[in-house]
Parts: sequence; C-alpha cells; structure tokens
Amino acid sequence: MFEMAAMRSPLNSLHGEDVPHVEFNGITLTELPFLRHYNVRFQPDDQQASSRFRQLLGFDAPQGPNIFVVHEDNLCAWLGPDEWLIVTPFHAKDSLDYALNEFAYGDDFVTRVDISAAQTIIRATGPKAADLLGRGVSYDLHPRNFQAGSCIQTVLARASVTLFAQSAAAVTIDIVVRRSFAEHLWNWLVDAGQESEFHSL
Amino acid sequence: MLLIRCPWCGLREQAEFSCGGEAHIVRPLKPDELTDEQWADYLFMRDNTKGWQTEQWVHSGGCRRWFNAQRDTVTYKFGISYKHTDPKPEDGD
Repeated sequence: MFEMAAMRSPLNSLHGEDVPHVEFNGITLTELPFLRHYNVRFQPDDQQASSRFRQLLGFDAPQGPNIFVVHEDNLCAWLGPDEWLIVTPFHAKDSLDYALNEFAYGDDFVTRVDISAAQTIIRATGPKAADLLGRGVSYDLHPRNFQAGSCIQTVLARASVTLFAQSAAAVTIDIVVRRSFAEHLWNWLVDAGQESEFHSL
Repeated sequence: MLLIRCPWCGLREQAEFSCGGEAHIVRPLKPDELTDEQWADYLFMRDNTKGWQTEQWVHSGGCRRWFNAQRDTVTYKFGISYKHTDPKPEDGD
C-alpha cells in the first residue's frame, strides 16, 4: 500500500506539488491525477466471460465503437472489439481490483492490466474546449457529432490520446494521455489556447 | 485531407493509419516443402497493381486493429474497408 502523499502525477513538475490547473480565454485545463486505469480484454462473443464481467462489476462492457458507460464510480470505455479501459477513482480501487482479479483468474480467456502509472487524464472545460482540441484533431468534436458518452482514440499533437465527451452543456472533454507525453500535450494545449480566436470570449 | 474508413471506428484521417502491403497473401501450410523460388515468391513477390488493389491497413492511432481496404493505386481513392476475416470483395468503382 502506497501513501497518497508520496505520489506524484506526471504533470506535478509543471506546478510544484499542486494539481495542475490553468484557466485562459474561457477554457479551464486541469489534471485528474491518481485515477486507477485498467486495460481489460476478452472476446465479446464469449458468453461466459461477458456474464462473469457483468456479475463481478455490475455493468456490461459497451459493445459499440467509440462509446463509454459510467456505472457508479467506474468509467468503462470501448477501445477495440475485444478491449476496454476502466477508470476508477483512487478510493474505489480496492473493490475494482478485487472484482477484476476475480474476473482474470477464472477459466475464461481474459486479461486485465493495471496501467494506472502509464497514463493520466487532462480535463478541458469551457464553451471553447472542443475548438481548442480541434486545433489538433481532425475528428469533428462539435457536440452534435461528439455527444456526451462518446469516446474516440486519435492523435493530438503527435500524441496518442483517448478523448471522452463527458458532458454536452458546459463542454467537458477528458483527454487520456501517456505520462511521457503529458507535459508536451499540456504545453501544446496552453500554447494553442493563446491564438487570437480564443481571446474574444 | 485523406480519410480512411476503419471498419470499427469509422472515417478517420490518414495520419492515424499505417499500411501493411497487399492483402490476401496466404502463408503456405508446409513451408519446409517449398522450393527456394516458391518461398521467395511468397515472401517478396507482389502484384504491383495499377488500379484497384486490396491492402492491409492498421488503425495504429486509434483502435490498433488490422483490416483490409481497397485502394486505387493511381488516384489514391479508397473503396470498401472490411474486417480481415471477411472475404475479398469485388474491385471498387
């Protein structure tokens, strides 16, 4: 068991010991550090694995492409036809850990990997958040296309990212990024937000 | 911008993809019974089609899955994309 106080997020170096947070031109960027990330794989047509997943975690893994579901503390995103990302807050990790261990140690052909240390999440909020990300993403992030509950994996500023549309009203987009790219992406977002079109808010 | 259709994720920009060469090349079932010439043919010889050909692509910036796609090697126009388990379709338009 490791101590919360001794943990450092990938973006701590930019802002001392504080959680990174910056506001500019109506856009707020903040890091969501220390969440637990798990990569889970199993064959979706494996009825036994699917039903054990539902039984142990309490929800179904989303089957469609480019969507995620939220169930209590857990967010479960579709990454591929047989691959999902589950994100849960630090305080809920023990129960999820237990459920995923039970799931992985059954007879079914499934894997779960704790990738919490490999990636972090940057949350972009504000009416122009989608425009800001649109400076580097070709996918249409307008709420009519990228609705709440959608997630896409794409490339932003040459970094592989997964984007979650958390809410449509006050646009909130979460960006999952590898830790080694986090500082680069943060600086790119702050820099892109300085362009003139973002000043008129 | 060149858009490519991933059979899972839908239309995405070309920068997210990598090409894996000609599709539907079947690995010989008994490689040890082949002559050097037949093995070299399997490894290296490709059709070098002018016009429509089927290619393997991987959505490396997205879902990281391989699939097959038709592409016109003259115009770079893309035709049908389909899962690698599906049969080879007719040539594109």
